[in-house]
Amino acid sequence: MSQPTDQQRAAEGQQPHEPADAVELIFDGEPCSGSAEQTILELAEQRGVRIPTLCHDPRLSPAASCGVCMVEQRQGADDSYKVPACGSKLQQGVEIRSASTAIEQARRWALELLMSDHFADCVAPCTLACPARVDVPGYVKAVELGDFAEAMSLIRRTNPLPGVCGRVCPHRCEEACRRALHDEAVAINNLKRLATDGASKRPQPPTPKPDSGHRVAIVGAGPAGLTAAWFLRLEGHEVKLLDARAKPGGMLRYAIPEYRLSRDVLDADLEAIVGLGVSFEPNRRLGKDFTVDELLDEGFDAVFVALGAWKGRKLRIPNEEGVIGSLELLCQVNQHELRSLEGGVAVIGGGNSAIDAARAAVRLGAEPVRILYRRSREQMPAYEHEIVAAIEEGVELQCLVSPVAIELTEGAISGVRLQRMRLAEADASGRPRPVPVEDSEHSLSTSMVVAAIGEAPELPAVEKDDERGPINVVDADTLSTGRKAVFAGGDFVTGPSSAIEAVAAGRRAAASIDHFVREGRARHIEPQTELGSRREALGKVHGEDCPRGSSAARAAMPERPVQLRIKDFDEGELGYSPELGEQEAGRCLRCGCDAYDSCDLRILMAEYQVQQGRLGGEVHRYESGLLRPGLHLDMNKCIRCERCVRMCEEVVGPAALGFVLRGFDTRLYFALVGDSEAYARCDACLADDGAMCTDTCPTGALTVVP
Amino acid sequence: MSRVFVGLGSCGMAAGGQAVLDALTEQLPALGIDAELSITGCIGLCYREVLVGLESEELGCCLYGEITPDLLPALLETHFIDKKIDSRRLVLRDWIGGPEADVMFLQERVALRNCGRIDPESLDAYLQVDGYTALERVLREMQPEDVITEVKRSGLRGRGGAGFPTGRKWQLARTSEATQRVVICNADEGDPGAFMDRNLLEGDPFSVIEGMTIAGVAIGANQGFVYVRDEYPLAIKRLENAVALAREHGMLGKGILDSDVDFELQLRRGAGAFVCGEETAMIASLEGRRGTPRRRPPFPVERGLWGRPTVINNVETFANVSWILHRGAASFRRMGMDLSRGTKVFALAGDVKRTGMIEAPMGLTIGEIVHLIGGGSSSNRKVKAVQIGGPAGGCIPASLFDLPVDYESLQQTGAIMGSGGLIVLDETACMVDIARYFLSFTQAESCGKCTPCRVGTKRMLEILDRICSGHGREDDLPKLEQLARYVQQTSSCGLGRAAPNPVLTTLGYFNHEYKAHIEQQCCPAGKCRELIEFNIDAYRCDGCTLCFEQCSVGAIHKFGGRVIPLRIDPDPCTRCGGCFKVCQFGAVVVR
Repeated sequence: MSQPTDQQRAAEGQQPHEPADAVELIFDGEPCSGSAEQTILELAEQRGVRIPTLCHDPRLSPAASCGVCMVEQRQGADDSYKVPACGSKLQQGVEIRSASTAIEQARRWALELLMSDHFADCVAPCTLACPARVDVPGYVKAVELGDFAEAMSLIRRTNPLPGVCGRVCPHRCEEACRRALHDEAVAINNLKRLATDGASKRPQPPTPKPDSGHRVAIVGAGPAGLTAAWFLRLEGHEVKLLDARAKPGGMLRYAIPEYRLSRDVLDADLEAIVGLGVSFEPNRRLGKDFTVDELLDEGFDAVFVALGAWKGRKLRIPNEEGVIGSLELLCQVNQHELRSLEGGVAVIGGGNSAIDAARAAVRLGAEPVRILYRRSREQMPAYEHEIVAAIEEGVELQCLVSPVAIELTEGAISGVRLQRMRLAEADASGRPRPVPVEDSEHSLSTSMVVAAIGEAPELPAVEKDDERGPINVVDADTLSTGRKAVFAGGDFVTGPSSAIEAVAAGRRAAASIDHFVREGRARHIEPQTELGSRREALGKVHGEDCPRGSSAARAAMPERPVQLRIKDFDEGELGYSPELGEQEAGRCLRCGCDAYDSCDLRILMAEYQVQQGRLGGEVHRYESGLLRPGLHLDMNKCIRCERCVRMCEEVVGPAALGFVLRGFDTRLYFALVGDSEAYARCDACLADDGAMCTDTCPTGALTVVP
Repeated sequence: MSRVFVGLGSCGMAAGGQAVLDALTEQLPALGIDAELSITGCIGLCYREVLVGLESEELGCCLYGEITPDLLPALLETHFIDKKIDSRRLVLRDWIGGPEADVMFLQERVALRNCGRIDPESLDAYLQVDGYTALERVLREMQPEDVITEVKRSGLRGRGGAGFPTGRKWQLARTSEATQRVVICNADEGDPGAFMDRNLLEGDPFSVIEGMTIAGVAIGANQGFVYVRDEYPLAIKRLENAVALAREHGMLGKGILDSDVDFELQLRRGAGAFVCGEETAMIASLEGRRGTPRRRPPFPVERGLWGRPTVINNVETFANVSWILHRGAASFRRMGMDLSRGTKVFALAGDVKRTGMIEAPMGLTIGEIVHLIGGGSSSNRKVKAVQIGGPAGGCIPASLFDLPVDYESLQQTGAIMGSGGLIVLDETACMVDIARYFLSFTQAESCGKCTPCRVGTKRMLEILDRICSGHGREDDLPKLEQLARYVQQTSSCGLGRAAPNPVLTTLGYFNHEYKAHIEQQCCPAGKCRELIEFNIDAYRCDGCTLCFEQCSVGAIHKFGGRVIPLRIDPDPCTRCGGCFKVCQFGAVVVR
């Protein structure tokens, strides 16, 4: 091939220079001196300037291959050119710049190119799907090993309600689970339940940091408020929880029936939170007993408003006065104020709240219990397994009907007038719009009608129309409101959602508030790119991309027989045994990356805001496996920095690693064949505390395995 | 004494030269002609092979072209017995006259001085044309420093493409503190369409060996290597033969030419990695390691093969060296202009009448090379551009054909002198496709070491593939240009740094063609298969059915004497363009 041109030669470092020891040059605008044997990177380190790099390791000769440590160099009045800082020796009289827009762009290009062929996940898809970003593969592995305390500690890192979520979580993690590419998703939620139930003793919560001197008030002791309290307290802040009701828990205690969430489990989670030193004030209602301003006046540095969404929607049909809202019904049941029912119950609605009300009614002795829903079953927003359980328990499901009036006999409800519906084209929600069928009105006799058509947040009158800004409109990233030092989140802001969404909001608020009270500025907890590399950004993931391992089928959740469970409010699901849990956890494909915390590529990707899928193009999909016994290679994560190759050759000696193939297809290979002496040196290195090659790997490509 | 010779370079061999040689061996005695029979390398008129030279006292040296064994008896009889020139077959007379004299008129033969004229397998033949007088002079009359001064004075710059002053390179190697130094001849010619080094080694290996020996004496090296690609078996064979002969006659080995200087030469065969033509990768390969470049400095003249100061020069450079030390620096300086002195060998290829090897003084314009030496377009279509410098070079449009060919002028266009590939492109060449072709080459030849080249060229190629298939996106051009500049500025070695040149030059000079592909899904040159359709113009069609015969997929239907339907069936049609090329009436049109 051709030799490079003069210009290129200049870019590579001018003409061969005369050896000289001391050189004078300009670095980032400041004159300085160094040695001709020193690299630009070494000079920068000496001067406390950080230049990012992936292929550099001070123990090795420079490869200057990753392209991340680019800096600009200029000689006299010539144009500047880019050189890799790690592989360029200092030259007399040059001017070096370590930061500029052009340099940043060049570094971003290098990272973007690397990421464009990096078919690997920093974080498992289940964890990404979880609003609270719970480390699912981590705790699933702990459950498999029978270390339930460790599993629970892992969950608590981002979710202080492991017991609650092990029971009532909609588990979006399972929808994202790649095991479904082979058979069915791992029963993650059941394993989470085992993590809390399996331990003979719950692990100690972490110890809060020393007192920060800051005080935070949290209004609403539901899952959002409780979570915020946990994380804020751990940061060392004084936390006061205020709630309108007598006990903490919010919807978890007052809306979710006990057969789905045992109160022992809820109380155990709450004890851990309060046990951190969070003070709880019951029976304090915002707008009636105090205002947000009063809290700020009292000296709280920030207030988090998480009131929830409690106000039931009305049916807006004639004779509605005797209709009870589902939430009201469940509150009464959960407080044991309502212990039995007689006659028929008609629940109007198709969401989880409707199912809860219907199943509770069954347990209170009502007969028949019907759910009346205006669309068809496919459109029901309730969780499928809940619908199935309700039908098993004798709940009658009537779809495509809508109430037009409540029928009264002597002032008491005697029935409901219904109209049949049919489905028309989709509405704004994307679901087919129900429209009335003419001349289809008919009556259904029932002695109780429950409205379960949704709830809405309710802002106390005193906090409304405040000229300092509303407190129920938030910045989605920081959860800060229009009012200084006031934050809001959970159902109160989003409308009715799940417990795990509330946990996520609480955690986000805590991080934001923590930053606010310390630095005076709210902060976004998790910028998108911090989530790192995702296989899906580069293409569809197929079963062959993630080997299946265990062939076991998904373990079913043991349940009490229907006949027994409809008689009381004890839990219907019994939970996995440790043996069943081990088997189920063994089905996990262990997506995600063990090198998450230490990976330089991930850290730089976030720092330079690299969009992984922007370039598109061909992507390698390698099968990962053992290079030799004890040494595992995931070629998908390799960035060809050559550190392991150089380490093995220059420091350890046996030169066991090398590259094969060329160009875009270049890949790492174990090169020792039949050289027993070299192999023995490789063995010895591997037998030490982690091999040198894995030690220098900047990503999770090369790892030691037992 | 009469002489008969056959051009047996690779081109002559491919055209059937061996059969001609065999026939001559038989027929010369049969016809009673007393002539010395020998072979030569290629003189450069590859388009007229097989070339046979007949030399006699009466007629001088006549070079005849397109000779087959059955033409020989008549030709030999006419020339040697009737003593007349067979003007139908005559190509050149006494090297400068004859029908093809135009080719030679503007050429100056320095590196190619002996190619096609002497027997490359005979040391005697080389000695007869003053071979080794340069080395004699160097050893007897000059100090090593004088040699370097002479080379410096000549203005010779590296003919591998970068143009680094050869004398200065030698000086740096000589002044470095070391006991052992090395000379390497870079014969790893890998550019598609380039065959300058091959022809030189096949046609005049001694001039290269002599040049290397002179370099060895000058810098104080007693070891030399020729790194030659294994795809050049004939060049390797002749080089091995030449090395053996030179060693046998005391021109290599201990005490060369009875002096007290030692110089040993060895051949190393490259396994075909293009990047091994890059000097640091070549050194890695010679040391037995994976052929990947390393960062410079240190330059090879400081720390090269096994850490020794190493001079690496191209084949053509060394052939020039032995000329300069024989004829003197001043003679060399007389040719060329400004900072580019002497001549440059080019491999002319593409849509040009006279494809082959030429050697032009520096400073001739591109137009002069294409139209006067090359004879202009080989089709009746206009020449649109030249691609110069191979995959590291660029495309220069016809509007810049007045530009002189010298290092600095070419560089200003975004192309480079390169090692001498010069491909002429007419209007049927799609410039996007050309850029894609060259980039696909460099991308495939990337060693995979640094990120910009390993992944960057791949992503660039994917964008070009997309554009050529009509799926280009609006943001592809800015993205392609940014990426190209990035790869150019940050790749580790010359391969990666130069790989974007074909893309950047076409983006600059033929931007409208890129835009047509993206905005109108149209390939103006009618080349990109996904974007074109072939049709038959009924008014021009003569019904000869040649296109029907040509079509191998049955896309053209014949009915009676006419060709129907008038529209070629687009489904089976593979857009190979066979019908288009074969039609003599211009009735096949591209849309």
